[in-house]
Amino acid sequence: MDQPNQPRRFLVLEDEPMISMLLEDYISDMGHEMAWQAETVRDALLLIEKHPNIDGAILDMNIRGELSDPVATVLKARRIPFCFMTGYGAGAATAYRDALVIGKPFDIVTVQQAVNTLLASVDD
Amino acid sequence: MKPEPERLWPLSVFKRLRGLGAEFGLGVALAAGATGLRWGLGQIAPGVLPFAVYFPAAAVASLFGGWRAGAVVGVLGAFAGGMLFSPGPSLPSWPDTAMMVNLILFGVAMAVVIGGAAYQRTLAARLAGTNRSLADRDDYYNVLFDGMSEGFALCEATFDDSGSLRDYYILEINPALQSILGVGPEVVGAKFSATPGDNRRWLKMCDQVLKTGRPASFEAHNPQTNLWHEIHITRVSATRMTQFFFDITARKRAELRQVELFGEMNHRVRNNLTMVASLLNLQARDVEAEVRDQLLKAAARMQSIAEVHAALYRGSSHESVELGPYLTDLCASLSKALLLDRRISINVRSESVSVTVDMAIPLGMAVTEIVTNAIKYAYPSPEGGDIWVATACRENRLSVTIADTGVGFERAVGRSDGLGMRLVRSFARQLNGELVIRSDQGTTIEITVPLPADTGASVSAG
Repeated sequence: MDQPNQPRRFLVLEDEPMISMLLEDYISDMGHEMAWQAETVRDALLLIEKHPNIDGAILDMNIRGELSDPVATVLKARRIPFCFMTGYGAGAATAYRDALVIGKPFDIVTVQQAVNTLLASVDD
Repeated sequence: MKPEPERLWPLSVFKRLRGLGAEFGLGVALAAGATGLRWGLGQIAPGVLPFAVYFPAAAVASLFGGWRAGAVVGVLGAFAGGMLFSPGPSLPSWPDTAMMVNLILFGVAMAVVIGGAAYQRTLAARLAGTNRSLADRDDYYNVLFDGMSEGFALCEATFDDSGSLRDYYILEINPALQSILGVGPEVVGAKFSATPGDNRRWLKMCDQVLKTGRPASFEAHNPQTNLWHEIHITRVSATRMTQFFFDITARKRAELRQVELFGEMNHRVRNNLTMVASLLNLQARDVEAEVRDQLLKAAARMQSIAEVHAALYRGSSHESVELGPYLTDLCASLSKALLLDRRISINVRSESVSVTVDMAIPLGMAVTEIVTNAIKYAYPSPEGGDIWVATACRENRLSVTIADTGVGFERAVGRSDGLGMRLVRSFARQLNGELVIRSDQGTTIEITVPLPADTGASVSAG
């Protein structure tokens, strides 16, 4: 388990600004930081390319009609832990069926549990 | 029904045999008739050529019975002529040279007669077949023309001296189109100009089709019958065109119903959101000032989304929102909820501009936040003042300005870093817009967003 005091930096891929604001608040309440925010799959891929120091990522499954799977593929290759968010229920279509999924609407407890699970998976 | 092959093939063989028998019989009968005729002629006038009568008989046999019947006449004629009517040694004794030559000439001439007549017969049969299939086709097209539910007319154009379409005659009009137009078959041959009403637009369209060859199609409503039609005009030749009328009333009604339902849905969404806002307003009555402010703000945010749906069902289009009336309604509901005294008034001035729902919601939310902040911070003194909301369009960019003449942005503690301004920044970014805050005399906040020309946003002068 990581030391609770060590702040981690997260990437959030979400096209609805109010939801990313909420995630930003929840993440910063845990002592971490939403350091990068992308609203399109393309932007997310560029940010991952530019910043090798991403500690974790939260991806909306459907970004303006586009699946965020390509982002997940790159994250997996770089061994950056990630989870999905979806408003369509846990059975939503994705190539990463075993990935962690946060259903929308979410509450602070769900998000914080997911973030802790992500961070723990790196230390395994 | 299932055919029965084991009973069918003997039937076809029987028919074939019967056919051959009839041909043979016809040949024999004609040969016998010709022989009888020759015998009679011989009685009246001795010296008539022995074989001559068999040629017309063979021709008749070939014409009506085919080459086999003709051949039967030829063979029987050769024997009968040779045996009964020849002047020389008669058959069956071996013929002399003259008889031989006679028989060979007879055979050759007979072959030519039979071949020619049989060929004539084939031609006649083929012609009859063609006529029959033409008649069948005619019937088929007549049934199609009369029976189809689509209206059809064929028209012949007449032009004036300058070469543009002046009028046209109706050459053909099917029963479906007669009933669509409420006319009888007497309009065939009538001029189009006999139709009552102003037909200049219609003629112009027909003219275009005849000139360019590009078919025209459009939808039209008939107020008399309350039916909708899709009409296709197609050029057939330089002076002829066809008009097709398809009944699309069912589709049109479904579309109208869909629009109705969409309006109904927006109405309900709006009412539900308003109800939630009212609940929050109610809840705000019994709590301390700090919490009441928060609840009233939450209710105002809710209401600003509700107003978008109101604008959607009130507007002529169900996909875009007329920004002026939307912002006016939004500010009216904000003053009702937040301005309990008349210290502050909100003035909206908007150009005529339509935006998509996707743009209207963030814009409305941003305006709500900025106006709410201005109400809260700009005029702390009891005299109050004005808040202005204005929209303007320049070069495909839309700017929304919210201005007050109050104490200024920096001097209002908490105005710049609350949730309100955070939301405003976030909405501006969502719209790829710029946010400019000026604080000279009071506060002016301007949001400028690009108007995508292809996503339904449209600007008209106003």
